Amino acid sequence: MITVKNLVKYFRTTKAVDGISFNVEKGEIVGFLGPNAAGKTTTMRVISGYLYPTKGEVTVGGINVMEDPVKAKTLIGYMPENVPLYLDMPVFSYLGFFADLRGIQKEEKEKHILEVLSRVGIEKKLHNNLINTLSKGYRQRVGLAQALIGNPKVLILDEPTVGLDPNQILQIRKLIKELGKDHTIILSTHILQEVSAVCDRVIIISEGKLVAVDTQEKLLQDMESGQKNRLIAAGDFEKIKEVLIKINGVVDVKLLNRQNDENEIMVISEKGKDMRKDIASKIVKGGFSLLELAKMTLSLEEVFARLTKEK
Amino acid sequence: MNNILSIIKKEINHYFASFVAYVVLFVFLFVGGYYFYIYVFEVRDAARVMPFFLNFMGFLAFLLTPFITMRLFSEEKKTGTIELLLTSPITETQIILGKFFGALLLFLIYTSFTLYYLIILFIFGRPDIGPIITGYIGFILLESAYIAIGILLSLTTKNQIVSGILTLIALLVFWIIGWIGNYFGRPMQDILQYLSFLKHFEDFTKGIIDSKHVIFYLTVIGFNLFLSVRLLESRETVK
Repeated sequence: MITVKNLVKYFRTTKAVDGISFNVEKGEIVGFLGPNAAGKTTTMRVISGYLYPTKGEVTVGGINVMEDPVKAKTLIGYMPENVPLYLDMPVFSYLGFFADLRGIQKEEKEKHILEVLSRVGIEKKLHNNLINTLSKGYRQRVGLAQALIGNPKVLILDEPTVGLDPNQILQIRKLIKELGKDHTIILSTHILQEVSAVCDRVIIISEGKLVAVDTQEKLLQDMESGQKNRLIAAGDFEKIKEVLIKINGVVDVKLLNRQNDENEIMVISEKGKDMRKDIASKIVKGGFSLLELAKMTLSLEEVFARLTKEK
Repeated sequence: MNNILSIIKKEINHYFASFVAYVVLFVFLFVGGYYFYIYVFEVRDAARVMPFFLNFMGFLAFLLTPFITMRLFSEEKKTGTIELLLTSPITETQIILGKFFGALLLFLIYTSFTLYYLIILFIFGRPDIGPIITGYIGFILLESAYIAIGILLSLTTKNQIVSGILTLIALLVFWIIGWIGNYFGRPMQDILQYLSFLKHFEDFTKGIIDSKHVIFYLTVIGFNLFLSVRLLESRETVK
């Protein structure tokens, strides 16, 4: 649905995007991840037709965004960063304006706008309120509604949940997930849970370069050099270590923390092996008491930090 | 065409939703009305009142136009709504024309209030209808040229005040350039006087429609709108 080929974008002499290529399939929700100033917004602006690339090609639904911008834009609904809105307009006429620009016929206009409004969850009593009287959460919904006007196949959402309270964030995420059923969505964020909660696939960029494109599970797997287990056992650490290191497959044993008689220990074993049974039985056999044992997985945060630091 | 109309409608609604449009209307009618009164009692000749009056209105409009055009793009750039316009399936030309005709329509509404003075003149005297009609045509062309310049300058900055001041300075230059020309010899004098908005407007108020004046204003309008479209297309002034 969306193809980005070798996208390069300069602002004067600074390189904001440096040769990014990726595809987004129909019906996918793709999360655009990266630290601030990584080039997320610039890339999304180029896809939406707001900025022109210095080099490279972007097609949406098979249409080249640079060659036929008007046609490409009919396929794209775009919610910019910080959700700019005409604050002095009532919600309904605001959406009416964009419905007009998208060439929606008069007869269908009202029905369409009502549909969109109910979809984003703006109640009837707010329809004629000025946008500047609405709370941040509702403004976000109006911005989302604007992107939905004209039923575009592709939605590009630039940091859709920034500045919302935790409840509103959950609501907007749920909404995005629902929209994902019949739209192709690219959303950018620097909140990692958002990607876990909403996206099918992750694109990580850093300093204008693509550092990873994959599903979250795969990214996590690839990053792990070995399996880690965390356990708490009572007894002398040195003796526990002796027992543990002898287990076939264990690579390293580290003391993380010690309180009174309780040791918090990390056991690193070979990649892809679940050592929990062995660890538990050996510790108990060795005469120590096992208080806690759990598999440690890398969090997306760690993956993200590693990928973006390397560059 | 429909897209242009939608933008015009939005602009007009926007103007009347803020107080600026009313303040400008108030000044336009109050100062204009005062000078109309002065001319009526000074000149005491119904036939000669309107040329004087329209000449003054041309000057007043030059002072007021920046207040109307300064926000056209500066505000959209500042709030970021320009991003919404530029990602809607419309062309840059449609955006510029929508903004242009929106501001022009606002001034036509203002100007329509002055028709009230005509009624007074026709009741109490026998003014010459010819120069009045040509005077209004000239006034609308002049105003259109002001707006076109205002739009171009509004595109150059996020700051409404800067945009307004730039427009005021630019229009001032086009007003007084003819006088400045008097300090030069030929051919500089001819060139500078040719660029004067005032010189081209005078003939209209005398009842003359000269194609060279019409072409002058249309050129100014076309040139400024063309540059505006190119500037918007280049995205140079957006981020």
